[in-house]
Amino acid sequence: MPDVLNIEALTIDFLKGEPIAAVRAVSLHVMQGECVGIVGESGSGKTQIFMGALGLLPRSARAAGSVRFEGEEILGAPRAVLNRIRGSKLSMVFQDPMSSLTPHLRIGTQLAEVLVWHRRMSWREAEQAALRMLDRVRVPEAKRRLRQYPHQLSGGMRQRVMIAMGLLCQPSLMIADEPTTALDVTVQAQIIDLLRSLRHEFGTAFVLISHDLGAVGGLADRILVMYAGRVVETAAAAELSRRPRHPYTAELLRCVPDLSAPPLERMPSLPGQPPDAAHPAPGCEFAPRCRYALERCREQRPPLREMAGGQVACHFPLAP
Amino acid sequence: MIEPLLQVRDLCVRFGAVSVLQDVSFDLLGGETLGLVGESGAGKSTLARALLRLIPVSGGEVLWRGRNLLSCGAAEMRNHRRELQIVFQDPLTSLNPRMTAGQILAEPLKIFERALSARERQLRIDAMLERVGLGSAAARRYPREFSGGQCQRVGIARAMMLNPKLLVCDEPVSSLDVSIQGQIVNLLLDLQREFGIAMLFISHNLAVVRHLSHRVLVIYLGRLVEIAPRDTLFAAPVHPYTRALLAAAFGVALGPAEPPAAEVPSGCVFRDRCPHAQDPCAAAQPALEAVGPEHFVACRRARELMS
Repeated sequence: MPDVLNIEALTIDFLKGEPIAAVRAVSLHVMQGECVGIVGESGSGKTQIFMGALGLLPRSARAAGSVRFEGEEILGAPRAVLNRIRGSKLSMVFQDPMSSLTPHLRIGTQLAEVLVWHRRMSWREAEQAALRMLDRVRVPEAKRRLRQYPHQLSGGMRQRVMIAMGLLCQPSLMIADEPTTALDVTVQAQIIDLLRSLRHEFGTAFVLISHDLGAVGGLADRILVMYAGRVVETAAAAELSRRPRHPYTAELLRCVPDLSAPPLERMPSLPGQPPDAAHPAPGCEFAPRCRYALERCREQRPPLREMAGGQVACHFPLAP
Repeated sequence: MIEPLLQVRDLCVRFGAVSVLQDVSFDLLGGETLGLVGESGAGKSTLARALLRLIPVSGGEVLWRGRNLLSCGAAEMRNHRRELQIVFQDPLTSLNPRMTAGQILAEPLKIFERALSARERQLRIDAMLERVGLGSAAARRYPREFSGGQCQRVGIARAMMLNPKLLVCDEPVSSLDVSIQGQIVNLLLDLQREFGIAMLFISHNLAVVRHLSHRVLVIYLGRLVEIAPRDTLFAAPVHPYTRALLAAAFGVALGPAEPPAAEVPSGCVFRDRCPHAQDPCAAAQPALEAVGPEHFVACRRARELMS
């Protein structure tokens, strides 16, 4: 399978105030039709990778490395090139569906605009296509919804509208950043079901970003775990949850709530605070929170190395 | 028989024509944690705010140690507020960005304990910052210098400064990473044991509610549909909505419709999403009825569903 997206040694620095290295030498690839999960705590750089790839970083940020989308280098590409790709072949769904829709435009206008812009359709044709897409993402009473404003829809419906918008131009890759985090449990399950069926229907590749390993586990083929701006482990999703190699991955798995187990005395959590990106620790950045850390971990940063079926950045992986 | 700390009777809140809370009644005992679960728009935060008189109420009573909070005067309410504190969902926006953590924690003391000297105040603040795991050096830092989890510790410390008897926690961990949520939940558990406070813990996250609660209230479109001791609720839920919520937590999607609060169906509010609905369900909203020890369900077919 050819790669849709190929990121090599991407580094992103924020230069305003105290310089912050948000993403450090991250390489990843997404194959056609594949679903890749990216997991890590707030501030681990998981969102910034794609902000950088899509040219959405603030002026104070610098990105270096290479991002190839369908073979074409897009890192630092001129706006005209990015505008042709963004929202068309490569779309993004953000966490908060309220703030990613324009509050004063009708849903129909916002959806149709995408096709008028990218596909040069007439407004009438575009609205028809938008209506069909709302049906496909199972928005009930789609025709009435087209006339409504974002505040008239529930959170789950707004997220469906965002997904519909992302799919209008049949993208080869959709990046979904915490698509279910802001939603109720009842609706989360619906959106995950929807993404799963859309993946098969449209053959779109997905990148699913979340702080909750449990939320991506059910959908992703492969998972990358990030800590302090670096990839610390990659593996097939099933393998990762069965045999985590990095102690951080093991901790994240321990924190996934399990309602089927009897309640514990203490709720599992990861001790300590997320790392301070402005003042990185000298050795392994996870060492201060790691229950297995030894002298070497505090002095020497472990490189990301190849293992059977994946990669790990740890001096003493938990599994071979 | 111990008198409940808080007794809520037929509480109603309307926003214009929309009935956001309808006839909500429950008791909260001293030292008890009551979980409140439901979807967004069900009225969870409205209930929290109505109890503390932060929004106008259109009917019912809120009895705090026997006194009706909704009818007492401003001076009396002010005194009750010492004992009733709240922790908000968004830890960053609920802290004043221009005040240090120390200044934030000093506010309640300046208002309610004016006799304290500056030094005594400082000692109380340092002790509380230590207690919530931040360390006294945190007093000089501003909210933006803290992570989300640390901000929530400041919010909890602020609520604890006056030794409250009831802590209302409105989704206190929902905006935090899963890996950090447990830290905050465990902190609340420790504080409760140490100070014997009662808690109303609001969350849409069932795993978190199960961890903390002694009893759980389930709310749907402004109506309480089930009240049960924690283990009963999770092992043998009765109301079809409670069952659907639990199934959703295990990854089974609830039917597609999400009724907006403005279009509450006639009769039982859950009727149009309920797999067990029958014609008589359209007649009236069923009242909460006892189906077991401390277990109440608002469903015509509760008995049937239990067998």
